[in-house]
Amino acid sequence: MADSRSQKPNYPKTQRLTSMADSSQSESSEEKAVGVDRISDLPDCVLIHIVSFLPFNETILTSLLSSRWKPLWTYVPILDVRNNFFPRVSRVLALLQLKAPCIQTFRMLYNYSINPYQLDGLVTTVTTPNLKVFDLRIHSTENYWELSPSILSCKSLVVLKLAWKIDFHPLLSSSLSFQLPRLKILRFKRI
Amino acid sequence: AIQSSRFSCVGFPLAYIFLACKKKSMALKLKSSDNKIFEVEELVAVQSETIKSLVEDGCANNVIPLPNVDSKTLELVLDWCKNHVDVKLDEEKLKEYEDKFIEVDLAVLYDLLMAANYLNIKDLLNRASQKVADMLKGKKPEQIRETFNIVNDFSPEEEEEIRKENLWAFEE
Repeated sequence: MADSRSQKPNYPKTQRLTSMADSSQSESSEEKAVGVDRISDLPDCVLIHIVSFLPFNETILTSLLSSRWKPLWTYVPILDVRNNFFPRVSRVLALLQLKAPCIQTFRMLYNYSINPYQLDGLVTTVTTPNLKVFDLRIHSTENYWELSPSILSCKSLVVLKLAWKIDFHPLLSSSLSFQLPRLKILRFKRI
Repeated sequence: AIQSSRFSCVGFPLAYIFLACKKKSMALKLKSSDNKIFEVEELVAVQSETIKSLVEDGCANNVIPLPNVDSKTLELVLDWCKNHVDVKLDEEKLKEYEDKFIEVDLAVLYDLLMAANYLNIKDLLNRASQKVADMLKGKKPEQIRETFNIVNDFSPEEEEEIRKENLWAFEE
């Protein structure tokens, strides 16, 4: 008795909420909530918000769940990559093409030496008219690397942070010119 | 420490009473989808951006209908709002409250997500989303499907295709 009381009353209410939110769905009447996939009924913006709390590689993993979930990771506005999640820069670059227009925040922490060409590719890929935060912390580059001009003229950029460990002088270029009208925070640091 | 906490206990409510008086100290009436009326202080209710804009537009004089939120969920949401009127009061206690608040079963969690989204309450939406993300974290797709009853509607070929396209980048 006690069991049926504690279980039943939830369902009519919860079901109404779903059918209201998703009016295209026909009313599947008195289906029991046990075994019902309610998470996939949440609006896109809520699901994307949920996925945005995951590390980058796990956001991609959600594309395997079902066709409902497949495109969601590409809309997550944050790209936060850390060492262990980022074994092959070149491989990830191709993937990022899909996602780049939605990225507002790019954070990268890379404790190894990185190939300057790949780093350039990465920076150019994420530098879109929507980018607001660019935060790059790397150990070093294999060769001389100079901060891509694209990022220095990214008009949407609000935060620009660079940190590096050794022999990395991203701002020694002679042709250095900034065009960052929205910039509020600028931080260069040797760590 | 005791003194300072006593001080804030006295100081903050007074400020709010003053604010509330200034704003006609009117309680708002909210109507849930199952037609229950909730009387709430304006300061509590306007943590919902949706309600806030109704108030600002002068549309909150009568009962505000919330056709997407049932009474059970609305009660929870308003409890959250009451506890977040003054977030500076005690951060630790607030965190404790939030952690306990979000310990609910999945059905309730979905309702909270829908309500937080519809009412536009950012901190609640964040906390509830974080909770779901924690349940996704570190799990294989099969485990996630099982937890949330997600039906795999891919053919084996399609699934293989996605694996190839999306996941190969992370395989050593």
